[in-house]
Amino acid sequence: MRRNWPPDTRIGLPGGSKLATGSNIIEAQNIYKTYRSRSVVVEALKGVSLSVATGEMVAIMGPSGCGKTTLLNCISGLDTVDEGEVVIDHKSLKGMSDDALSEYRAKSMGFVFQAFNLLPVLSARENVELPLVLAGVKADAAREKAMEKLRQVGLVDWADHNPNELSGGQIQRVAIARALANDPAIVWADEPTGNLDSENTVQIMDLLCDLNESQGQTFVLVTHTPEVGSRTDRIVNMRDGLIESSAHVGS
Amino acid sequence: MLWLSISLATILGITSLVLISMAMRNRILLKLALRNIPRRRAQTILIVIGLMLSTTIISASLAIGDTVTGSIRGVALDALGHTDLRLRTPIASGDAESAVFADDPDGTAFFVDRYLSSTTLGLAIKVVESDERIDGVMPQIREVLPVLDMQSQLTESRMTVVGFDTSRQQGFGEIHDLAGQMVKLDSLSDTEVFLNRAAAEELDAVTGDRLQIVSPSGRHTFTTKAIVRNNGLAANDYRTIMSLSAMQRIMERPGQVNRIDLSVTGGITSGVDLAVLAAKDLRILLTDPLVAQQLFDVLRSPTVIRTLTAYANDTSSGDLSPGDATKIRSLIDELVPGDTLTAHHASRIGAILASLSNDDTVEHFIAALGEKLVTASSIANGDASPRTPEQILDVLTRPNDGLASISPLVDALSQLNAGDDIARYIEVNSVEIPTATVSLLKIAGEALSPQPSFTTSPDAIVTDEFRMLAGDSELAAHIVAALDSVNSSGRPGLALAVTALFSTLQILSVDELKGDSLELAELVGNIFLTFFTIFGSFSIIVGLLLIFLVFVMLAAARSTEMGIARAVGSKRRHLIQMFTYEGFAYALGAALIGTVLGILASLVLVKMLAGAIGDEEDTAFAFKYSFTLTSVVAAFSAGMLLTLMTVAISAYRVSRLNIVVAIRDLPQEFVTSDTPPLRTRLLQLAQSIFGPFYQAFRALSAGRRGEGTFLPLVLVIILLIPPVWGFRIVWAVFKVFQPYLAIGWPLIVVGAAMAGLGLATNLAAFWSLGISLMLVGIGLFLRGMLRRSGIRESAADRSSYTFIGATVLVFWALPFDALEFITGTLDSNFEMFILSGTWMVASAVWLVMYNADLITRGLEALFSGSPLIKAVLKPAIAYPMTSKFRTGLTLAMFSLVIFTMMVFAILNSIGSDLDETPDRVTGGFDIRAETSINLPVTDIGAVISNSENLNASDFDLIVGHTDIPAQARQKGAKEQRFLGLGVRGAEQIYLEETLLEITHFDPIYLPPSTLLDNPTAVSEAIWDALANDPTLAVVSGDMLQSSGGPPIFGKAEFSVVGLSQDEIGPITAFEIEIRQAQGRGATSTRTVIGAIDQFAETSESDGGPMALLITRDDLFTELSGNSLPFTTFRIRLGEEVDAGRVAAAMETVFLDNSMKAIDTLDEIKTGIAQNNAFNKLFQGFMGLGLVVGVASLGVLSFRAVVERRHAIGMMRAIGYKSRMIQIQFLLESIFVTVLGSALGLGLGALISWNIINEISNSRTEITFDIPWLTVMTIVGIVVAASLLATFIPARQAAQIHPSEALRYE
Repeated sequence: MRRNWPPDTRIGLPGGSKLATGSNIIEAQNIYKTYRSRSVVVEALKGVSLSVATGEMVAIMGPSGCGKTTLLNCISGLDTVDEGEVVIDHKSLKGMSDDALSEYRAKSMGFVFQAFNLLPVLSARENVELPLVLAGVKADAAREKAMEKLRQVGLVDWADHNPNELSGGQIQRVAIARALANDPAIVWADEPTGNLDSENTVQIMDLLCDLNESQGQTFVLVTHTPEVGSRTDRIVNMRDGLIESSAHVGS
Repeated sequence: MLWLSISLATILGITSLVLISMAMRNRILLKLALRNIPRRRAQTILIVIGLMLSTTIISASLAIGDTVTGSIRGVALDALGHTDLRLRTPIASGDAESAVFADDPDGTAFFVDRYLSSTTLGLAIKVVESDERIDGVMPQIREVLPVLDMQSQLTESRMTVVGFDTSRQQGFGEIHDLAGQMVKLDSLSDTEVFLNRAAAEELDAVTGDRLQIVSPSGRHTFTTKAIVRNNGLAANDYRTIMSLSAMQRIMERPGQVNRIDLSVTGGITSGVDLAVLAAKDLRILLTDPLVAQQLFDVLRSPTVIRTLTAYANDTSSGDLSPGDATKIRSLIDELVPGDTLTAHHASRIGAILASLSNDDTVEHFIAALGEKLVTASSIANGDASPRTPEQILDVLTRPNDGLASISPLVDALSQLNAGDDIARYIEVNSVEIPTATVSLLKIAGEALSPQPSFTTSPDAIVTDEFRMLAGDSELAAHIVAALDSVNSSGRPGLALAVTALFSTLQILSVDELKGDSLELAELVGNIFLTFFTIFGSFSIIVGLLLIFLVFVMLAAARSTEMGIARAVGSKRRHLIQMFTYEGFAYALGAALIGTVLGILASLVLVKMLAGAIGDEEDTAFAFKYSFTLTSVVAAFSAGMLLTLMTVAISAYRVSRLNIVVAIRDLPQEFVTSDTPPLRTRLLQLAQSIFGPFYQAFRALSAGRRGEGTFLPLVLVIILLIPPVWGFRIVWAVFKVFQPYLAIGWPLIVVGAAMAGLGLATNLAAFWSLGISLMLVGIGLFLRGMLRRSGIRESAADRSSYTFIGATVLVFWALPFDALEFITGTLDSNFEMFILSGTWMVASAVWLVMYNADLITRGLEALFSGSPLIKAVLKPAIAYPMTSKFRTGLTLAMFSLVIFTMMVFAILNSIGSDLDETPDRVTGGFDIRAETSINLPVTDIGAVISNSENLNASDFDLIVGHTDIPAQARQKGAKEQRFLGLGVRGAEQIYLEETLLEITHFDPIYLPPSTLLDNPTAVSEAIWDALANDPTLAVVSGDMLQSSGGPPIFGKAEFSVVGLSQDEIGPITAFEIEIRQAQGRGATSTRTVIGAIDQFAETSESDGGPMALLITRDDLFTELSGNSLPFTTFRIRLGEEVDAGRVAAAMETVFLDNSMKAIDTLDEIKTGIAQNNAFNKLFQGFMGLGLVVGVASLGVLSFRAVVERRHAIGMMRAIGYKSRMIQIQFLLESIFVTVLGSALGLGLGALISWNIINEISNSRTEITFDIPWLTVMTIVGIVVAASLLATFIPARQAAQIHPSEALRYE
């Protein structure tokens, strides 16, 4: 694999730290997460540890309710952990304020979800621009960058269309373009193909793999589709809030 | 009001009954509907708040109306106590309070002696005591006199001093002193008085104080026996009470009284109806039988009857002469508009012919008529020449036939004894008489003889009916005017004789004091109610929009649930029912709370107003907060019905949801509504026309089968309610044509028809609505063309909708007279304000919503330098601009209310420039000093020079004039009755010195060098003309016709025809005939050469403000042979002299003349302050409307948080900080508020500019001025309130945790 990340030092990790080749960009140690409602207590994560190498493409798989999405939320900083520690790029998420986390997400991470990816009231280009604008990029530069990303996902002709004028596959591609807008170190994807048919699923996975190859970003995917998992570098299998197995694809 | 209240309550009752019985039959639906209410408390509270606001506003306006009515009633009842009726000398109402010019043998003096002789008094007492409905009779003398308290040395120059017959207190209630002890009238000795509390406070008097009362016979000393409570006989003005004998002594009127108060049985408030009946009988009994018989004999002569008939037919032909060819022709054109004679025309022509006394005129008339008919249609048919009246009429009444030839007709006429025979023929043959004769024919026909007929029956006797009618002064004036019109054509003297008879017909006149006061209270209360309802209607509409919004959003929240319900087999009507039940529950709660809150709100507003108006000048008037059960019921029912209606409409809208779309929570745009085929639509139309009968049939057959008939019968009743039935039919008709409306041209046709109707009826409302519909139609038509031309649909829509919005907006924003060259002057009234407000706002919002991206782009460009602001701003604008419907509604709410406030604020600032240019209202005089005509000042200058309290050098100028009530009519006008007006006879120097501004003037009377566009020069020249020529006069501006405005009191008063307040500038002088208020004495003519500023001067009299004619005081000598002393002095003081101090000193010095001296500048300031207080009250009331707008923003925001949960989660995930989300929500509401306010402000300024432009035609000094402070304060408050309302939802949104929000999928 080529390791030429980060391609643009302006938009790097906080503190502009450099990563040594092959070091782990994500280190999760023994994390616990319990959801409590009035009557129910759900232990979603019961001591999970996971490391992801820079540039790796990892799929987290498992049956419904096994804690995949919770794990993704916890290690991406969308959610807090009850116990354990998450270190992203040598920086512990523990103790970071909500604002700091938000800023971190804006500058260094990209997210793709199964649905609700785009703001329905903004055009495709404006959606892609959002993280750039949040990161403080000037209007002209943001527009240029957004168009470039849309070109990468093959939607430059649809830039001025609103999400309700796009197909499901197109929406996901816009979401991917947006996730990549800031050239983040890590892209998190929760069921990115969950709402798509098989043809679109293949296209989206082609795109993701291609990006992983060419840009060298780290991808963490949650999926329950074996075909999707098989396209990644490594599959982490979960069951009942624990990692059952972790195996490199093809090995 | 009562009727409205009952009918609203009934409709509400029936509706509720039906809903409840339906709910009881299907309790599962009811349960499903109601379970949401307690489950989501916060939402329920929000909904109830949203729903109650309309009710609150209705309830507040009703309660304010009630309060005004109640306060005036209260004042009237306090003043009158048990007194229901008053007997007095029959003189024109509004006559001055005078006795001085009494015993005048020629009957030419101005003022009739208002004192009753002891004979009359005896007769009156005998008459009233024979009526068992009357339980109290109080003969009295009442005068307004100056009083001095010798202990406190304080004076009151206008004290009501009353001498009561102390033996007759029975029936008029008790009098209590301040300690609550009863005091009796008959305990008063001849040198003792009671002071009421108001008077005691004014004089700072205590029991035992010695008072000096000034009467025409000198000063008289009395001792204060007690201070008594304001009430009943002690009334609530400044009042001194003494015995009748003491009063007769000081007025030198032994044995006489000047009025008799009567009390009918029953309490203070009851008995008004009884009083009406008693008054009717008393009027008959107090008619002079001899005069009645004489009048009767005069009136029943055929000549008079014919004259009256002609007059009643509105054909003032009496002054026609053969030479009046044009007049005759226009009269004929008016009579016979087409070219066909009908029986109806014939009778009117007959009536005219009958009234013509000159044979030549008859001939000319017929000739002209024939000419018209010849030129109008081809006339064939060679009839034999008609010779007899019968034949002429035969021709005249033959339809569609026309006249063969004119000459035979003229021949026939020449052989006739002119009109009389024709008229008799008409009478004998009972040719149809037009219905316009109603009241006069009552006199002429039914009343004159037992059988209605036009023949003279010699043994006819005077009936009570006749006496009743003859006592009606309106009718009497008409009869005199009719007879007067024949005067010039050879029957002089008749009118004068009849006038004399009318004026002596009544021995005493009977005033229904209490009934009239209560009626006035009702009237004023209704004016307030109307005012508040009209302006409140915007807020009510806004409130209804909010209700609609609330329910649409409620439905959106429930859409998944309801979609599932539909999927498992619920019918559409089940959804409607469920939704309606839920709405019913909310509406009930909301209407209850809203009514109560409205009453509370009005209480606060009234407190504010009372605080501001509580002026010492008005001790008699105090705002007493009150509301009636009728109003509460009306407010509750109206609020609840409006809410239910809105609920039903939104339920209907909701029920049409697409199941799939609802379950999957897709946007509603996916739903395409399909139009049912024409056949179905026609079927529905038939169903709504015959619905009630069908339901009745079903009910009957159900009954026959032994099934329950209750529900079907209730349904029949509901369907038969005319509005429901009518509405259903109208709706069905609309539905039949609805699919074609979108094409555009039907709307164009309808609009054109409506505009045409507007032109035909001269109504601006129809015209403007028609044009607007046409513009909408054209837009829709355009859309169809564009779509067909292959342009993208959204582009086609946008351009055509933009066209509609822009053209409609421009149309309504045009200056009012912009299209006058097409339409002529159209009639418009207050409805145009509401119409233009709603249309302008709607079209502006429409325009903005369809061009939202321009705003977005503009703002983006503005903030492009700051990416972070942009990140927040972008969605904050994009969200509201995408939900066009919701945002449009909210924008409309804000702009409507702000629009009204803006217009009000601007128009308000017009009034307040009075204090900058007071001269045009005060005439440049600092003090107005009024004295009693009973106690005139003989040499004002001498008194001032000799006074220690006054310094003669303070005075620059003192001029005098006298205002008296008189009667007048305008020469050449259609109205030929003499009607009341005030006449100011002024000394020459007053006319030379006054600075009152002249707005209308005849340039002929100006020196040739006068610049017509210099108001000061024109005014000076006109006043100079008046000063030098006693035959000239000017009139006050309120005597001219005005162009609409809210209705004020209807007054049967003289007004000038042919001049408009709005069209200032050059006029042509015209003549007015003037005579005394009693119609006696000589008639004088004045040439009116100008009019003064409409706000400048009116004449005050007992009957309220009167229009005023100003001329030199020579007029008084012409009318009565006597000159009159000046009653009013205008004083110009030296520089730096304190007008307030001088005025106070003058009141003391001229105490014996009952002088009231007023600092005119101070008076203006007080007036402005009171005006401002009212405006504050009103703005507070309008503020209720803003509450609605703000509440709707809150509702929208709460809903947005729920709807956008996922989006917020996603935004948080990609890096939005929680505060940014919060700011975004707040920005959204600021954006909507500011945009809505800006629209409202802009449109309000625009229409105000138009209004002011229009007014400035008549008032040059007006300039357009935006009160920025007020405006900015309002907008500031609105924005702050919206932020407050959005604060909680915004915080909720910020607290949404991204991982949780994204979890629900």
